[in-house]
Amino acid sequence: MNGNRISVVIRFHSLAALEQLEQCLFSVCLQNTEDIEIIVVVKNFDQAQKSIVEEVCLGQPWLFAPIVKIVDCNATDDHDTRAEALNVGITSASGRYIAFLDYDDVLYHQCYETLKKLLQESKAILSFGRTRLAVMETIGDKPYVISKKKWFFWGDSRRDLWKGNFIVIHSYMIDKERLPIPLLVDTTFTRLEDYALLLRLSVEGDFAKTEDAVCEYRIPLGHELAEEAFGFDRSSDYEQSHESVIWNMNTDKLATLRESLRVNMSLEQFSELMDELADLKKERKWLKEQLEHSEQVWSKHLEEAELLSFRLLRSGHAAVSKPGLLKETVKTVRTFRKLFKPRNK
Amino acid sequence: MQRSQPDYGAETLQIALGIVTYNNQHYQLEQLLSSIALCARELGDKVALKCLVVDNGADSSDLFEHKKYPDFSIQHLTSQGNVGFGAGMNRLMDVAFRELNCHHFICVNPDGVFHRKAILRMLHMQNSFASCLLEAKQFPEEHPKQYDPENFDSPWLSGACLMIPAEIYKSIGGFDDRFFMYMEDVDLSWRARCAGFKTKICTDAYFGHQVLGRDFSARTEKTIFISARALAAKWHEEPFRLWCEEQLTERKLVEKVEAIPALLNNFELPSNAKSVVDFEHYFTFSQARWE
Repeated sequence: MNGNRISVVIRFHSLAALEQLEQCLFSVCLQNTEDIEIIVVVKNFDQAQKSIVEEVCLGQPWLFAPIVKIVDCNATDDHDTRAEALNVGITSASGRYIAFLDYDDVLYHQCYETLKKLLQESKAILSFGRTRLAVMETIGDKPYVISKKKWFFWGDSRRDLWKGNFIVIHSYMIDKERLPIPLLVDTTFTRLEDYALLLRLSVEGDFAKTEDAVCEYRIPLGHELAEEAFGFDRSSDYEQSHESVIWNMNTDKLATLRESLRVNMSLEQFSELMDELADLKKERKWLKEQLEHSEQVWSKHLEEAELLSFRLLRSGHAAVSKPGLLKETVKTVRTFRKLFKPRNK
Repeated sequence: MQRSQPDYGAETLQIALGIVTYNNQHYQLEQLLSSIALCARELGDKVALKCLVVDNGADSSDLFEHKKYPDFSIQHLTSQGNVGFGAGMNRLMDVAFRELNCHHFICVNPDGVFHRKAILRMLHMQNSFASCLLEAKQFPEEHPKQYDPENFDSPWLSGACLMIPAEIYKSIGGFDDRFFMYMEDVDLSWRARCAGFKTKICTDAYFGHQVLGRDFSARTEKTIFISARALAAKWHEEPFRLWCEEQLTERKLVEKVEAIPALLNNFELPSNAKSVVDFEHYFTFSQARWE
């Protein structure tokens, strides 16, 4: 195992997506990592196809020449190999640090430098950063980003991870040397394999975190997150689709995994956890009281604020002295209205 | 999708790449030059690339003397000190268009990196449309400004990687060098649009450029607001100018408004300016697709 090297496992299954793979590699190249190994895991590619992939890997403006490996999953049938592909990549990796990346996603500058530094400065087994979500559309043959937003920013700790996944597959790095168990992805998962891996790792050691956005998760308009995060309509056929059935099956499998995992902690850690829980309960009660109070106060002031903003609009004064001020005022009033709208008891 | 090389006719197409350095680290310039070499290979023999470099800061000539790039030529001009971005670029454009008779000039930020197909794709787009100002898309974080995804018209273009055809230069000139740095690209775009040229973004020509997570020093912030104020004054947008002045004092970037350099405005507002300029959206200068 090379002590300084970062091995990046990239899953890639079709030459039709070569353009996206090249973007993904370009973003890796912009990391300017001194010792990096690129492992592209392909599925049943012949030698000519592998050569094309290798040419794209080497054809980037690397500051430091990378080690490039194109490895095949060699699937005997057409089954989904997303989990197997990760294992094939892990087996080929010679670096101490390992990161995963899908061909259609991109890293931001300094992602690997930040994640590696976090590992080196802590005792964590895994470091992660934040991810921005980009919803994309292809118009003609050109990509178009409809919108972007911070999305996977809600979780902070391993405990949050147990509630739901907020650590996207290309937003973390693992220190293999510190792992007490072999790094292996459960191949019975045909979806959510990355979350299953994270859950297993989460009971083995600490995670280190940066609040910086380190990468972008790119989704098409029809993706479920496009609806959840941006409010775009999703195809009504989805609920009946094959994908939906597979997804639900894997979600059930994940529930079984949760049942089977055990957290090992010292009495001291357990006691700290209990204290934290008690504090959280107090804080929640206080927040609830504050919110109720705010609702009363704001409902009183809201009308006054609205009246003021419309007076400004009528006089045209705001638009002359500060462009956009009026718009901001109206926006703020609307936000307050939404926030402090009396809830149904 | 595989695309063939554009048809440039019998003549070899001459493209100058203008680089104005300012104390850049050698590794940045080295990576930029290797990316240009990759672009040159994609372009083939019918396109000749020439890098024109001038240092506004520390001398970078030793890098260009020691490294050899067989796929393109480099001309390193004698520095005239820190004359500003626009003035530096104008000097290079002057050489490119008047001395070297180049067909196109590309402004290139020294801390950026070309995708190997970027210049090829920009040329494809220049060939598909009538002469236009053309921006390569910054990568991985593009500017959120709203552009038309069907005809690629963009309200303004960034100068980080910007292709200027000779025809447009001859018609409207280069940057307004009264902008020391920042906003000169917005100004050039608006002038081009007012003159009837299109400003387009080449959405699959990627230019690697770090824009996220950069810390702005107070000095940079001050330069941005001073340039924005100059832009507002030039385009007769009084409220925005006053707002910039307010910001400069509120943020304590200047002690008092009188300390800001005076504005010299001899720019005659084009009759169609109202349909081109946009100060409504502050520094986005257009509607934004995301915050």
